[in-house]
Amino acid sequence: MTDVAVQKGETSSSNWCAASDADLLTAAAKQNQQAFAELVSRHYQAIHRISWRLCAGHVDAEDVTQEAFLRLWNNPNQVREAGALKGWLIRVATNLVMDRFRKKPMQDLEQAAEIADPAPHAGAVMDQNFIAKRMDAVIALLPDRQKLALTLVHFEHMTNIAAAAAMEISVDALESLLARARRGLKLMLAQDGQSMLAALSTEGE
Amino acid sequence: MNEEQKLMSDHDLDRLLALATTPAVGPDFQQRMMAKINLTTANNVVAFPQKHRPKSWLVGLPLAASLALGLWLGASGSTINLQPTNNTEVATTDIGDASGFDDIVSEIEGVKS
Repeated sequence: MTDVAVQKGETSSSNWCAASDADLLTAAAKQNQQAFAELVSRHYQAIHRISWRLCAGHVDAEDVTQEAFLRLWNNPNQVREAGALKGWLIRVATNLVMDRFRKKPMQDLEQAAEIADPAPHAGAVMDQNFIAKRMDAVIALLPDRQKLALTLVHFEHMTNIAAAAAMEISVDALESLLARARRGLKLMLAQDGQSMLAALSTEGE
Repeated sequence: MNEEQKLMSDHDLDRLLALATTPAVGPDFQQRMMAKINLTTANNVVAFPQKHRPKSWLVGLPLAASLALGLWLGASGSTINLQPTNNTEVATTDIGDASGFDDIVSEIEGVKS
């Protein structure tokens, strides 16, 4: 797509699908809503997943995602290059989550329907749903930065380099966070991890 | 057996992590998002009150009236007393080298007396 077309706003909504993030950002900076809608459709699911994980499944995740995109709409020039867009959105969403839960620490988390009891239940039926809730719960107990590193690399499948760039830390620091996160999870799962694995093996058979 | 050996392997942890919930965003998220954008955009537009602009020929009317009055006063001679030559007198007294206000006053009083 040519710069001239972007500047003149001549592009129809269907053509934005083929446009690069850079073109979309340029058009969005000129308040082109169709271009911005395409940007939203490309990135909102990832930003929502990350926010959801950082909010530990709280319903605020959707508000946070919307707020992050609103900030992009209001300040599109803050993203200097299209390659940095996802990282910028992740940082904004992360800061919004931190701000929200710093203001109202954990009380909302306890009310969230999605949060599972982190304590292992003796004799509970360990189906996949139970294991999923238990894993969500232990991940939620990790420190914020470890949780974010794990989310970006494990759940969003970002490379260590991309995740480190998004978190604005060195790759070594990211690897350290990942290692501590994994060790923390293993420690929390020391009591019931093996039984969950056994249940998985039984289900597989 | 030490503590490390009790912990599960990385492979086992990955198997369990793979079962963690993948959240799904609401189906109409994008519509709601764009509605919010529209609302924000609408709120950002400040409607300035329309300025009342007088008709251009009305601006010229007082100027034309002022010109006509000036011409009439000049032609009728009624401004003759306002002209500079009628308003000044030629100094007839040599007040010498006055160095201040007091000198001028004393010079004038001396002349009168």
